[in-house]
Amino acid sequence: MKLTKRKTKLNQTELNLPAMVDVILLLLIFFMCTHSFNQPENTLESKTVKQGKNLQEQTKLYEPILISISGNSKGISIRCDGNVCENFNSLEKLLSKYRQFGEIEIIIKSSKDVPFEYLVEAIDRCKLIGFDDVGFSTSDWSG
Amino acid sequence: MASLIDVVFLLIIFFMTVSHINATEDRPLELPRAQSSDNPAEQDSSAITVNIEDDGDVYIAGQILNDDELAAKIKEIGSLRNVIGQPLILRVSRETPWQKVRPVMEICKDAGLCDVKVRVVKKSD
Repeated sequence: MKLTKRKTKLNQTELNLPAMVDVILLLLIFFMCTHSFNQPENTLESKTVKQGKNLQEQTKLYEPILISISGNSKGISIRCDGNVCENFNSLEKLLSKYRQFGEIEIIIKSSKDVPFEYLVEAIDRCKLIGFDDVGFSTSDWSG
Repeated sequence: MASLIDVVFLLIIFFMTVSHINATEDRPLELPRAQSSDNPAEQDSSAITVNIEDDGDVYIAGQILNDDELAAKIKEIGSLRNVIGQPLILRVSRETPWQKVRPVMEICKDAGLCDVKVRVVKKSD
């Protein structure tokens, strides 16, 4: 009996391209939908001061300007060097008058319930006027 | 077809890696808005970033800490590298009351972190 060699055809695996592309596109859509782009963040430079202690160390020409904010999320009151300001626009107007005296240190203090956003707003207005030396007072103040 | 698959794979890898980076980055917070901040936030590896949420929860590197733990953590970081004079990066939610932020600033100030960099988002006009 002759044994004949059979040429066995190797099963060639075929790549099912359309199905693969479908899967890849699904994955892509999944990651695109679940991914969220973060809002770009900026930096506002400031410092912390302990009111009273730093004043003694200062040998500057003018006393620091004290901005005090009291209230809560429902409403706040702003005082700048003892002067009552209706809102941040009037605070900005008052600060622009002080600006003519040159660079003066500004200290911002707040009562406990004031949202942090208002303190940042106060620093922001100071920086817009041109005051660079602005700090948070960490002294306890009941407002 | 091969080029299309290449492009699609690249996009997938991009989104996979970026979404992973987002997960390990800072906590998603509604940051306060400011107009005067022009300098974009730089990735300063030497600075300590403290995240404070609305309810006052304090996070450093994804770990929630109370006041004592925060002081200990900063001390621990201080033992590894010099933190005196380094800036403190504060990421605080805009609604967080001052009473939750003040103790954190005091602890950091006592540790020698006096310069504060507050992270904000640009206020649209």
